[in-house]
Amino acid sequence: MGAVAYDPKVVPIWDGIRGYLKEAGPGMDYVLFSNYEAQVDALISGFIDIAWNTNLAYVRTHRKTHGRCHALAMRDTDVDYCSVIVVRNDAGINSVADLRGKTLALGRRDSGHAAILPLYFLKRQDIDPARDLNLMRFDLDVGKHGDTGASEAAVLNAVASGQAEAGAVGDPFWAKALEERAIDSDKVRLLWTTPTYHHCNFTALDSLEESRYKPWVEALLKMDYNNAEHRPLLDMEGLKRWLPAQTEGYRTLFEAVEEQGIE
Amino acid sequence: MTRPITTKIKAHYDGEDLGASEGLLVAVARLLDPLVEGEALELTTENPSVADDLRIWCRRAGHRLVRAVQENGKSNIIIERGFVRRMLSDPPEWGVRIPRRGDSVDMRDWQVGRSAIIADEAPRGGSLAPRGAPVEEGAPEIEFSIRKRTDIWANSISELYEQATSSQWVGARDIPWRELGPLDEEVERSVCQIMTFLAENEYAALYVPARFIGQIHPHSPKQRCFFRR
Repeated sequence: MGAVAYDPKVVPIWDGIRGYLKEAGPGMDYVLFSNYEAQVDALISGFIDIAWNTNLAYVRTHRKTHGRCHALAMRDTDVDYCSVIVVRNDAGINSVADLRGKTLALGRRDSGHAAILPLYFLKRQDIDPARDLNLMRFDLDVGKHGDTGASEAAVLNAVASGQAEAGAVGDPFWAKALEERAIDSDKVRLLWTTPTYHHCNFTALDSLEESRYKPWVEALLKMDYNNAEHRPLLDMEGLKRWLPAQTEGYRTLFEAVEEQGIE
Repeated sequence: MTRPITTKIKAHYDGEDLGASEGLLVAVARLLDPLVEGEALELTTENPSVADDLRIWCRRAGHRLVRAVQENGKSNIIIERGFVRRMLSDPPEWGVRIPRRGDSVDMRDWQVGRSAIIADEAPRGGSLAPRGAPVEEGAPEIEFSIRKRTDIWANSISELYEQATSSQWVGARDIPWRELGPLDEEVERSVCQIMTFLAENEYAALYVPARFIGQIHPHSPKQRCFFRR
């Protein structure tokens, strides 16, 4: 399988899961890529059998293969993912409509949760990004699809420091910031959350035989957060349990990519 | 996937206008902790961001926000506890006290309760917690090469430690500095050489045990303290 090395912890995560899968039976080895585009190409060319993809990488694989791919499994935290619009308390923004004419800080262009989907969902609230918003983009960590959180940290900083009146981040980033008490609630608060969507998944091409991925997915689903050996791995990867893939939650990103002309 | 909303509300909390990052999450986590999976906490709040903040936090923490109803500027929220359990190696041990010797305590009396049980070999990993403390499983492992009782144990260690601490000589205090007079140059040089030698010995007394201290498992605290002296 392939994974993108967005952080040094990616090595212990997949080393640990490789060890678990070896013991559980099906086995696995992994290859690290520096960006999701290279990983998608490697999946399509058959260099890897399974890719641990962001939602955007999944959509790209789907488009490039004309739908001849499918999702195998995902994290519990990949279901019901949403983007959070945060605002400065002193910006006079009390509803989504009040965002008109304001500066909105966004994460990296290729981040589904901190750029593409917030704009898509705001448009459905009758906020046209081109006409109604002054966009401030933080294009950090190219090719990592927002995994590193660097651009989300920049978004929150921009709002807290008053460079922007509003900003968009993924909900896990916001939850972590709240938990770490890194939010000055006198200055910044949550205004609105977008409808939910799906985030990462393991993607395989339809040409991969079921006998090769089925035991693999079954073993993965048996990982248990209440098992002391599994817990550190699951914590690092940000989940409590693996779930069988659901794909209806990617529909909005397919539309957003189309609408925003993202290749 | 939708499960019916639980009615097993086992805890209540009035969050007033407290924000999620202002301590509310700590209170909510504490109230959910003793519940079993599926039991719920009911919370009221006047803070308009809290319902969304809690829904998002629940996803991360493995709980489930099953209801949030807003009425007259207040929200009523129900959170169902998730399946994640604390994994303590043993339940905590309460009510164990070491005796006092007058106004102080003494290392010779340390061995009480679970802390008195000294294994032939201290466990691998398990954090830096002292002997007998319940630890959460799954903590990162820290390697200690000195873990065997036969390598480190000494019955008289407490005695030696108490002696060492009570009779420790302190140069700054114990030398009658006022009474020192000038010395003949030859003697001055000799004294200086002796002092250099003594300082080297003091440094050895620091560095040599220090190289062992890092290797001693936390379950041998007396030995570590003794080396430190």
